[in-house]
Amino acid sequence: MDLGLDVTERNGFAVLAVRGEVDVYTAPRLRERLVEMVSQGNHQVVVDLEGVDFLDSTGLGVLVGGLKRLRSHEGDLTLVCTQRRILKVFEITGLTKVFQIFEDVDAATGGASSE
Amino acid sequence: MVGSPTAVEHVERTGGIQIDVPAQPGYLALVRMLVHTLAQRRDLDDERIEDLVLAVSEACGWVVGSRLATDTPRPVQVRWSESDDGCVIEVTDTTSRDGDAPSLPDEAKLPRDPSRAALEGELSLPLVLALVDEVTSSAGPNGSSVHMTVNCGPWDGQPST
Repeated sequence: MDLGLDVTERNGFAVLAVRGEVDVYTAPRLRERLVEMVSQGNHQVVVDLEGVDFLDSTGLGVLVGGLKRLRSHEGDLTLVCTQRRILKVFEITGLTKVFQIFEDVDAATGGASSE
Repeated sequence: MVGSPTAVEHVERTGGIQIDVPAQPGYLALVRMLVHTLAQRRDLDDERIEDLVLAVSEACGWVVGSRLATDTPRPVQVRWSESDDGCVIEVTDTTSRDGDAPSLPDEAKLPRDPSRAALEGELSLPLVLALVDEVTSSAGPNGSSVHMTVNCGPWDGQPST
């Protein structure tokens, strides 16, 4: 199962574009990538979930872990997501109150919330 | 067999199918593919199919997660059965023989602290309870099982309203 993890820079933010399925099998790779980004000094991170086909509770745990790690460095982790099926997972679990979720990368790196 | 006409034909002929997959994370995608293929034959819209796929994947993940520490080779058993008004998907941990049935709350409750719950791996059960119509558990000679029911009719060629 392929998991795409591509990092780009936009307006001072590190944007991690995730593609594929995030589950028990692939989530450790996402965790490793986020840890690596933080250790490289990227403390303002946007995780773009628009290319994600599937996200389970393990993936949610990794994203929350990344958020906690970044906040401990005075940073932040925000999300880009418009897919109904992925947003629903955040809504059911109450994590829409934990993450700032934007409609696109421009909004996430420019500060305009989709809510 | 998974995802091929053979699996569908088997269900059409017998009303169900059972697959045993290794209790390893890499096999969850295979289970999801099977459930997605079979669910498409029912009167379910895309969102409910995705809900069911996620619920089954989460339930399989409980078994896989419990095995990672023990390195037990026994498989996860996934059984799909259907009737005119619904489908039942049963996920069985075959290492748990004649033990207690997995305990389930009466209803889905949002975690008080979702961040903590996410970090401690406690969001899976609320997800499953929210995504399917009924969740029950049982224990028997084959192991302990979680049964997930989705109310739906057979696909009649018309989109769900």
